[in-house]
Amino acid sequence: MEHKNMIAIITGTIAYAILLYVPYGLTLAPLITAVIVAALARKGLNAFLDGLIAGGLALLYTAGAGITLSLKLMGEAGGVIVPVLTVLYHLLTPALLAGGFTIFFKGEG
Amino acid sequence: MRDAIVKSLAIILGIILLTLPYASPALQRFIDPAYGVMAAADTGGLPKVTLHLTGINGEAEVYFDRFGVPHIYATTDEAGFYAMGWVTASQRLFQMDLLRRLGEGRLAELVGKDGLDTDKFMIMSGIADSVQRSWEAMSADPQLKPVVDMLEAYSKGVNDYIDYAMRNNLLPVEYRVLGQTPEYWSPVDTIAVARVIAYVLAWNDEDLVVQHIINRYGKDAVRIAEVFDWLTWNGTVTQADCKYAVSWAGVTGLNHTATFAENTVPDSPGEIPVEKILSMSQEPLNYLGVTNTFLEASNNWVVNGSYTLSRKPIVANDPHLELSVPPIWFLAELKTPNYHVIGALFPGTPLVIIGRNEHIAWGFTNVMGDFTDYYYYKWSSDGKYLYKGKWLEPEKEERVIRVWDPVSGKYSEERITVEKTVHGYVLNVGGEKLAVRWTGHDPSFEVAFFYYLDKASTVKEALQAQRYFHVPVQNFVVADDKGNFAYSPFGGFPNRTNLPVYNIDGHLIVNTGFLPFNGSKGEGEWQGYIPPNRIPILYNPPVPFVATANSKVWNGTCGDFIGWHYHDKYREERITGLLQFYTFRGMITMRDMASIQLDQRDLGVLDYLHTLLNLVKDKKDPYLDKVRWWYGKYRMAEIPYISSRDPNATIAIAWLFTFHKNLWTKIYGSPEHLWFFRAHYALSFIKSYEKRDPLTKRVMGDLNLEDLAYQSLKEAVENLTRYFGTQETGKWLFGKVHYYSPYHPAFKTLNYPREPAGGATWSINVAPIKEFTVERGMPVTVGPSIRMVVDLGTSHFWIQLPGGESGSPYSNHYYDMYERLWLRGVYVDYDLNTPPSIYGDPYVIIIGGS
Repeated sequence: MEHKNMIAIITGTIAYAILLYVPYGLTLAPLITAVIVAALARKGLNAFLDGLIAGGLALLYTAGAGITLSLKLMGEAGGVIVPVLTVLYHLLTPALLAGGFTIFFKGEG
Repeated sequence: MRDAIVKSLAIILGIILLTLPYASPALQRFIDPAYGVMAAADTGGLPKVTLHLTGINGEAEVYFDRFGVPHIYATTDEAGFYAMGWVTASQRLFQMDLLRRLGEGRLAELVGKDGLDTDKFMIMSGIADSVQRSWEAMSADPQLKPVVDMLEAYSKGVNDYIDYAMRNNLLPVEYRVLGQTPEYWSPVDTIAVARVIAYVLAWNDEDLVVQHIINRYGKDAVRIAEVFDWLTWNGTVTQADCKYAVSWAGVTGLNHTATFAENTVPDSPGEIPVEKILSMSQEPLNYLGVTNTFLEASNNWVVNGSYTLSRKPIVANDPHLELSVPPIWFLAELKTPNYHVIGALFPGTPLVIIGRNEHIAWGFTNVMGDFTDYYYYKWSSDGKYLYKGKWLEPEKEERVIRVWDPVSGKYSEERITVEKTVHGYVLNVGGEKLAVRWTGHDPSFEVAFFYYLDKASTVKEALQAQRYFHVPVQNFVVADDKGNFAYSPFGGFPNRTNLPVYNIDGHLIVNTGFLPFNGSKGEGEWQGYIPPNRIPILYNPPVPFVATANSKVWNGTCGDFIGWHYHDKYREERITGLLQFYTFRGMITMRDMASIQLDQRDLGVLDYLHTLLNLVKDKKDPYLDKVRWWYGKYRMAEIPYISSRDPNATIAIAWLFTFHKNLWTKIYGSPEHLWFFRAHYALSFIKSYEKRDPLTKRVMGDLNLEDLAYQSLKEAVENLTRYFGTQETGKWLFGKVHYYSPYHPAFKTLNYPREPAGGATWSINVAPIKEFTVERGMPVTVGPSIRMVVDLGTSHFWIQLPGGESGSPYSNHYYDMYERLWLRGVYVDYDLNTPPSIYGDPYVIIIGGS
């Protein structure tokens, strides 16, 4: 992995984990993380993967101990769809946005 | 260009995902790792905090031991009660909230529409009103001011914890799933918790089951009382001997109880529809971790100090309740200037319910009395009811129930009309209408009882505290370190008048309250309660022990009528037998008493199988041979208990249960309400059938009992084969199909793990069977909810809990006692003289100031 991708992931993860605790954190965290990753990482797929890893790591950091049982509870209370959406949300949102934002930061591919 | 399109699409998809949290509040709770369901992992630890308070005098320190049991040391009672509130809330907040809302008819506010029927029942039946009525009576009585102060200090402790939890993101996981926050606690909530327990133990539905049988077979079926033998309970084993009875008033010197309101109300029955009411009145049980009184049972006994090693009495108690998650009990020790008590309490109550202090120890089992009556009326088309020749308008009041919707995060409202007749609250369900009168409708001060009991230093003081105990009436055994001991089934027993007598083909049967009364004729009305000088108790009787197991109370004619739906005699018989053995040997120790509590021999299985095998004595069948062989060995005591590793027990017990269920289905028309059907009723029915009783013949129709017994064996074997997936009976280990299954009332993910269970329905160490299906086998959801042994000659206290102290699934104390103690029959040995430093540093330090 390139040096700047690692920086993008680390910075994105920290930003994501901190922003989750502020008001509207669920929106701000992936959005701002995506901007950071897009600015720091390389274009396209690289940015996408960096966003994916940053979101995943932040999720593990903030909810690591609670994640297994919580997924089970989500399954019980909200069906399969809720745990799936949860994982997708924290992995895919920053990834998709980061991948997309590279248009603005790096220009068209 | 293509790349740009892909990236634009990625942005659009990302934005769509970004809007997800706003799609529904429910989804937001689940996907939020900082404050939502996932963040509940932080609730697993024990709180470590120093609290500086105003409004509370004194200081307190809370130490947690290796099982997470709090030991509270306080310089004032007030600080002690405050600490108890704070600590209980820190471990069981959701459970406390669930219990109080249930009692107040506000469950739907917390759990949503699933709780609506329960709320309707609690409000319509007047149980919710009785909570408020008790609180008003208690707070208006200047003598009970110290009790009210205690409840207020406790409430403050709970509320301060709620604030602490909200500030520190420590709300239990259940709140996060439901999208709810706890309401503040108030003293009335503690009364609501106590009233819920009273409902579980003293609300009787049996009358409605009997009425259903009358509906099915006609007026003459009132004779079922004779056929089931609940009028006499021939051959049963009773708890106490009238020969030694003295009156409660005589012992305590009190001839009055507390200010319970006097009764607030100033031909053979035909068909009365009751089925919907019956079904609704069972509804709250779903939320309690409780099923019903068929399975709920308890044992306690007190041994005369003349027969113990320490020369002082020993008290033992193992109340059988639902194996709920978290357990219905919370263990704690409290030391203040006026109290030094250790034991089990209900989350939401500030004092120990079952336990010991430095001088006395006590325990309870439920008195299987009749505390509820139902009344039917002739109703006019404009909603009036006929009462002694006059048409009266029922009192009516509209109530609103708020219903939480966890998905939208909003409340909706449901309205119901509460009606009252001269007799009581009207249960009005789908066109069925009955008024109901319950002892719990009157104010009851159980909390005051425990306030005085927990600091009593003699048996006599403990008995005097009973003046506040009205409902649910308990078999109370108590002993002190001076060597005194007593048994006192004291409480509110209705004084019924104008009981109808039915003449069925020359059989005169008095309706003692086992069937609904004709309210229009003024039958069965209550005139207050049986006065204290007519309630017999035992006080230092010249006997080696007194044991109770929900059986018939007295063996003679002392005292008034108190009930008819007792438990089967087998636990009482077995406990008595073992205690006789130990008292013959002498030098009884706590360990001996523990061995009785863990006993898994089941005399009921023996008795029932004996009858069943007689029914099919001419049949030849390989499975029957296995049962005969097992029965022979078991009877000869070669197998001292029903082992979870015994395959032959599996067939015998599966057959027994299947027959029992099928016979009930034949009588009742469906397998519902099997809880009602005691083994005593079944065996009496079989005896009556063999004597060609016409009612039993009518019930059985073309089918005879021999065929029913044999068909039941075939059905049991078929189900076992399908359950185990093999015909190899050597693999049918009893514990594989019969297993402990403690369950959470709201989320099955939070259940404790299943474990093999020995014993059965009538063993002292009870593991009752309430269902047997191919899918689930025989899950055991009821059992000893604590096991306690106390020797008054020592300062020790033995206890175990089928769970853990914490309600958080992330805690190390979620089910540590279940795994390490309860399943293995191991007790924790606490000593009142233990210095707190042995538990390490205090976790919670409370520094009060006025």
